[in-house]
Amino acid sequence: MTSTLDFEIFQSPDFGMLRVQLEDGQQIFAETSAMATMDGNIKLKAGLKGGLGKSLMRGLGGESMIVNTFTAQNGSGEVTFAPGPPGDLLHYGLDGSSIMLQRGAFVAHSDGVEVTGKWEGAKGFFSGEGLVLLKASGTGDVFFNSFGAIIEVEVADDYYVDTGYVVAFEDTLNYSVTVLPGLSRGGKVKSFFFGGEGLVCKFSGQGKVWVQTRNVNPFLNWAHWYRPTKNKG
Amino acid sequence: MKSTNSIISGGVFNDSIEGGRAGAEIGIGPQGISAILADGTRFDLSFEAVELEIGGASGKMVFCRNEDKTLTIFTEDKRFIHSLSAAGSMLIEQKVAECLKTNRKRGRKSRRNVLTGLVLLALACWGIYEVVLYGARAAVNSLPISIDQQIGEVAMSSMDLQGGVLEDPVVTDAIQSMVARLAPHASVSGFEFDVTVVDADILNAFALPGGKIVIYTGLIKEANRPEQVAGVLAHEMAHVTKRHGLQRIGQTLGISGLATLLAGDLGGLAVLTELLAFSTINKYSRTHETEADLEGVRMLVAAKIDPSGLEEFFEIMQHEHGDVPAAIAWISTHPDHEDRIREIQNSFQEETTAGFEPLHLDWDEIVKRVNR
Repeated sequence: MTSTLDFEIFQSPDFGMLRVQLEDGQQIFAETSAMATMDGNIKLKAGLKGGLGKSLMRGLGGESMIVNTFTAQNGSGEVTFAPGPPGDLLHYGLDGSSIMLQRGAFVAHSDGVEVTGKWEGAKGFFSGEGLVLLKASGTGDVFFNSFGAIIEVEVADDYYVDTGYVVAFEDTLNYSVTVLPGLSRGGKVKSFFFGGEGLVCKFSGQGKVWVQTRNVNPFLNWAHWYRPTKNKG
Repeated sequence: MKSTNSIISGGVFNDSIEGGRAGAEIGIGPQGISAILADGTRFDLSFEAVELEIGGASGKMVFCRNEDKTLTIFTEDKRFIHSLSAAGSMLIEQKVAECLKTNRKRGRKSRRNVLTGLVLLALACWGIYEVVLYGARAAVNSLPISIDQQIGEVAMSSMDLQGGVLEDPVVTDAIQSMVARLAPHASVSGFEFDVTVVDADILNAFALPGGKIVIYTGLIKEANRPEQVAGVLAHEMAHVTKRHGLQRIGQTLGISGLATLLAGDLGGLAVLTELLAFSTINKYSRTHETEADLEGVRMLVAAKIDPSGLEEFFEIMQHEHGDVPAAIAWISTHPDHEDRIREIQNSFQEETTAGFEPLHLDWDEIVKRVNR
């Protein structure tokens, strides 16, 4: 797949960063506060992208409604971006296709790509990923981040991923949220309430899924016990 | 093959393509479906060989595959399936119809599953809710009374009473005498009832766990006769003996704790958890208020004090605060006054009305001193 941007992802997979070399007049669009460094001739403009409706859906998908636009002026220039969570960054080249991104996974995209939210309703609610998933479509580059490293999986037949580990998937995949398969009805209820292995995304058909090597919620549960507590006098 | 009559964008899966997948322009000819990549490579699927399936993340993508599934042409364009149906081939028209039928069936099944899931979730929430309500009550009743007293003392010392303590012995003695008459009839012995009269123009009284009761001069002023204040005191004492304060603490902890335990990740469920906790506390305290009304009436009757005072006082409160819309009442922590008046009347009729002994107090003098 071709790329329109001259980019490099470095320091992967632990704390990956994105370096983009913009040609004169070229643009890149990034989530707010992702920019780490930039050359002096890069101009930053903040604003709603794709109109209010699309921005609002993006907001519901766990991203800022504001997207920052970086433009190189009077010659080429370099920008680097760092995602919020400690983890990796991945590039995907869109050619008229779409990929679905987990809440907050979006980092940056090139010209020709549109990122908006897509209503997932009950499926999104039960997946614990919110009611809206992000959808990146168009032709160009999109960059997304993970918590931990990213593993690319080419799906053949059925494939199950715990909802907390899904980073992104190609929209050619069928996806549904379900209880772990192979259990009796009572077993399903038991595992849902007491096993902690509640809901999984079931992927089928043809396409790729990106899985992260860590899940945020277990990490938060683990970190919770080390939080200092305030004594209320 | 003749030139295609409509061009639709989509993609192709095939092992000969680098990466196995590429975007393409899809066309429908009289014999089959074609896909042309950006580099000019062309893929063809005849109507005879094609197998159709609707799916993808959106559930609206159409996949056209050959028999051994080595070639897949797909698109999300809405026009595609209709154009295919209208391509002029009986065979493909039939295949499209079958595919749409399967898709509709699957949609119905998934909607049914979602509905079943929601019902099960609601049932589980309701079950948890009932268990916590029952559990908090049972747990509190097994605790010694000294815990109530300790909590009450801490609460009292950290509380802003919004006014100074009234020292006038005529008023405080009168209030204390009412409590003394009611105290022997408390359902649980061992509580020491201690009333503080606070000089502030607030129409309220409240009880803390363990027996500390605060009554505002604003409430005494509004009362026409001492039995009305005695009614309010009996109601507050009932909160103490029924240990509602501790039950509330217990069930607040219980709901949030249990919900966290069960939900595990609180991402999407956080809002639901809070709503559940809020509505539970709210309903519980409504139950508590009604329970305190009934227990208060029982104590008043046992102490031979006319219980219609409590009812009268709610009428006064409704008169004073009659502008509160009834719609708000359901969510407020105090049940609708009319409901309470009705409930008191009902329980009161069952009790004997004979043999009440009036409170021998110079009420006019007390109100005069409070007003000073």
